[in-house]
Amino acid sequence: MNRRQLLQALGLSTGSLFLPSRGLAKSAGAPAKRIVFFVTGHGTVYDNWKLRPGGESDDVDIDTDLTSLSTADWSPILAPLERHASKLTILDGLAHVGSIAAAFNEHEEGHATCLTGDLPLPVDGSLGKPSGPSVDQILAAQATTPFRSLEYAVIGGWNVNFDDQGNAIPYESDPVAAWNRLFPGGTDGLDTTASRVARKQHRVLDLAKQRFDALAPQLSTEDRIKLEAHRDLVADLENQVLALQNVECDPIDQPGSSWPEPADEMETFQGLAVAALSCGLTDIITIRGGQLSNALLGAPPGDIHNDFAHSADDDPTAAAVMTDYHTWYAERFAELLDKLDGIPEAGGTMLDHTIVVWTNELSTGSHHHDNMPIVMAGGSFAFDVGRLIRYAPVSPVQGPWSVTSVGRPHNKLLVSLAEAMGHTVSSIGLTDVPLSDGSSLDCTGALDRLT
Amino acid sequence: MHASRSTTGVGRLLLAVALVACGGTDPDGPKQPTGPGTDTDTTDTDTTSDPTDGDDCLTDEEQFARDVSGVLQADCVACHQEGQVADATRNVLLPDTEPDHLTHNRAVLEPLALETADGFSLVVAKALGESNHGGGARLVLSDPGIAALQVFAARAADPGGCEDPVDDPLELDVPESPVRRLTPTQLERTVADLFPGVDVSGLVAVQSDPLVHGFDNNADTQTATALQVGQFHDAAFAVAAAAMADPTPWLGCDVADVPCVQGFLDAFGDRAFRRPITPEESDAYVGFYDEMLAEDGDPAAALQLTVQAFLESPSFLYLVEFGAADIATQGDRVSLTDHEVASRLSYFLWDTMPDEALFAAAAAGELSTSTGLEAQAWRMLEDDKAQQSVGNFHRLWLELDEVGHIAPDPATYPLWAGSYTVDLRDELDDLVQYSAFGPDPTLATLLLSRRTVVEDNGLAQLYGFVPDGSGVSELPATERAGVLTRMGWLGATSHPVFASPIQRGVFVLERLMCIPPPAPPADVDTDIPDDSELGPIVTNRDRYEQHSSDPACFGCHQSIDGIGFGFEHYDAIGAYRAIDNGESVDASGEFVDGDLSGIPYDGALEMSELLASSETVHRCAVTQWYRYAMGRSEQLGDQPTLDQLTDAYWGTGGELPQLLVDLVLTDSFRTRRAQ
Repeated sequence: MNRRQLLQALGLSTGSLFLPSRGLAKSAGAPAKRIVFFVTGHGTVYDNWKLRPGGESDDVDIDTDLTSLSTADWSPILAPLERHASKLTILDGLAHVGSIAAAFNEHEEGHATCLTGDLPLPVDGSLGKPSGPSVDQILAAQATTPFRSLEYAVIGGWNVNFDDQGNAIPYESDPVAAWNRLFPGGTDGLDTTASRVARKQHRVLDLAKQRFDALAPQLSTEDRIKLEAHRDLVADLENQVLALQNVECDPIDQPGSSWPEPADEMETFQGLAVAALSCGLTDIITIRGGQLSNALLGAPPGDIHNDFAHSADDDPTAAAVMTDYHTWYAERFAELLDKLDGIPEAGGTMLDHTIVVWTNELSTGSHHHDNMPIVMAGGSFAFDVGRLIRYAPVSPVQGPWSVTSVGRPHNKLLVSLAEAMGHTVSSIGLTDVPLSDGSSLDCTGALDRLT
Repeated sequence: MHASRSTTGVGRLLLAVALVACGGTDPDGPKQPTGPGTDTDTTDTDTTSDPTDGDDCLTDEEQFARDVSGVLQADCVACHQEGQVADATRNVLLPDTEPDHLTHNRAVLEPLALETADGFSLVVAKALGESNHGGGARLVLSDPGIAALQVFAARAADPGGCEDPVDDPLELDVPESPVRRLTPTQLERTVADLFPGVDVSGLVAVQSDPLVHGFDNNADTQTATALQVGQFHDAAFAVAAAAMADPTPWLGCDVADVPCVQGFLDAFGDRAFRRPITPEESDAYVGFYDEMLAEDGDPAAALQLTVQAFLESPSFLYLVEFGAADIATQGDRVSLTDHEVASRLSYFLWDTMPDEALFAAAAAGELSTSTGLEAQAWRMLEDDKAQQSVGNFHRLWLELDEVGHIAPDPATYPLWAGSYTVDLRDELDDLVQYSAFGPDPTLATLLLSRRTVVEDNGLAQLYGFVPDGSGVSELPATERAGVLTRMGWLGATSHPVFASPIQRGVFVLERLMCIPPPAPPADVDTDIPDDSELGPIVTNRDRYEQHSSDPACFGCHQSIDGIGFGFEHYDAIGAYRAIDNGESVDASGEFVDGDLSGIPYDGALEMSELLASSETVHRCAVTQWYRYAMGRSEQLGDQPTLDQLTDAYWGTGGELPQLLVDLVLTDSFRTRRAQ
């Protein structure tokens, strides 16, 4: 790509970027559909997350227009999202049913199931992994953008994106490296060795690809598969390098490499993500938020994971700490929505053409998987947005030691997301789990009540 | 002291059940079965099945009581009983405190023994850690307990006999050698060696592959990701560009001298691919150079692009092995070529590509002889580059990078300074090098030496000693010993406020004993029990004892905490304490697993002494080195090799350099399964 005159960004601290969206650049045709996953950990503190504007019990369905809520109706954790009420879809009652039905260690399963819907497999000496791809990679397989998908992590976190072999896709955790990847630079038209080398990069990749083609057939099956997978990625990279050379987009300023606060680092990555979407470099992004520190939350001494997350159900101090934890992430999520909603696009904003999903490895810090705290935003091209949707627990899923009643398997949400992005699929991950009466809960098909 | 059970001798490729003689094991005696005993009289023809008749007929029941029950009690029952983590499986046993445990357990085990998995009786497969055994590997193949289970299974198939059946010897599959890719550290060191005089630091930024047993070089997790392929490309570009900034040291040609450069590219290919480049490859790369030159007329660009292409080739990024085609094969096994051995050797002992001397030895065919190979191995161990590989192994094995993440709560540890993590990491790196290359290069040195290079006075004060100013001091003998009592390791296995006996216990079990505890079960209730139910929490030990007070947790936690509590004299930054929150520290514990089973100790010093003299620990160290050297996890077919290496290592008192040379000389290292 040609690095032309830099756009005058308004500065990362203001939280808004005016970038020419592809939607504007294209005078005809519908804007691209995009999806962003915002994944955090340790579940939530359900009593401080859930909304019950009519004082409803946990045993009934709810379908309420969020714009009709008063400020007092918003729970402590979701309060930062109030300003986006008209574009939110709060989903209450979905469950990771696979983890409930047959667990080996729910914490180690959560990351492997939240975007795959799969039943994770234990791995000797390592974290559990799924047997197949996460929904973002199912979509990425069909993508024609320069980057099929992007995965960013702030403060780290176990992987939630997996390829079709169930292998984890690593995050980019260095914003400068992420920026360099999006905007690789090189100058156009100059008569230097450096510019000639830059323009011939795809030829280098082509030669490497040919060498993989020459070698792989001589190897045993498993080795051949490994090298052919590498070769395919080299071919992808070759196409991407060519595509990037042809993209017309004004990049944002190179980010710094240190931040006074984790919130600033999160904002930097969100800025990169929005820039990547706006420039059409990708339509599929995952942003992962890792474990926060005591200092950030002003928490008393104790381990966030072992002392507070695990005890949030019983201990008021722990509940307060974890409420602050999840509220902090709600504020970051709201800021991401601010950015997307601040960019006009095709009669609306970028947010209208982007499905943003805030989900989690677990539903509570003590390793539960029912009542997953899932908040969607945007995506009005596919969903009837601006609502609180509660699914009452009607399906008693049989676990190894106990029964947990759930509203809906989250697999159905993954199917709905895939379909919204134009991908036809009948199921994602598990297709059914046992119920306590001996029958099965069907996990296939789309999630009801979304449209 | 160490247990009397010994690992087997050399070359146990064929497991002959007939070799298991009738031993003299007392079912109510020591927890582990002893080796083959002296009572081998099995010629009696008395076929009565009364187990108390004291005659020479060894009935099925008697064999179970004498040889199998002890194994079950020692290695299975902790999890496989009601109320414990494996009680939803088909193998639910009674502990030997129950009166009818023999009859019950034999009845439970028999049908399971008749099932097979991977060519073994199911109970044997599970004990070896195969067949999805949640408890991992409890026994190794050479363990007499395995042989006893084999006999039990054979008897179950043909009940009523008076002697152990003689069975066909089992053959183990030749282990597979999946193709390996260079790790990030190997890549960085290799490009530095390929381009002498070029500064490549910081140019190779590649994501590590998922760790297996803590190692980043396991072929099973080396399927390249899109991110990594992008990173390989970026690294190749950056290294080629940096090299072209000053080609004089490595090119030996004028950049504009096309025929000279073409010749250079062939020689470069030999080094980049670590073996003579083929004519077809030469055509491809020199042809590419010619094309680039013709298209742009820029010799520097053409050279840079071609060099970059070499660095993105599979023959550079992977250790491709076909074996020597013209050497007669032994079944599925082929010898490696000299160059393939050279690559394995240099990436193992140096974590980088072969040097000129090693390439020359390969070209001369010296690496296909034991003498030549051994000579190179010793030469390489005496070279400084061996330090980087040994350091890298210990970094991964002992998780030393975690030292850099130590972040104690400032309110609880106000005297801590962030810079201490650097000093403490340096201390451990020094201890590692000293234990590998110093005057006593043994495992015991790593676990017991009190040598320290810490000099910062503030840190030394926390550490409890006064540096003597020479750069090397001795830590106090009443408080410190080797790695397990160093502040770096202790701090890395703690939470910001409290030390973690669980992290420390799991580390010792997994990394030093190779007996990893199974994962916590589903539905584990992670809430700390109410103070009022179980008494007040005063010390850290109280806190964790209450975590595991539920009988369902205790089955595994007695192993983990039994070790972890031994470290209670060290707080979350690893400073020594005799008092914890007003009460005396109780650092007593007892080993539950391996050849230390049942042995008590008080504190980490005694524990370190016991670990240093444990054969289980020595075998585990051998296994870890093997995983690192071979770039894969051990398979059943590796067990005879591991037995052989452990015997020798134990015999030298745990001497590391000899172990590394012995490893290089094994068949496993010098051959592979045919492609």
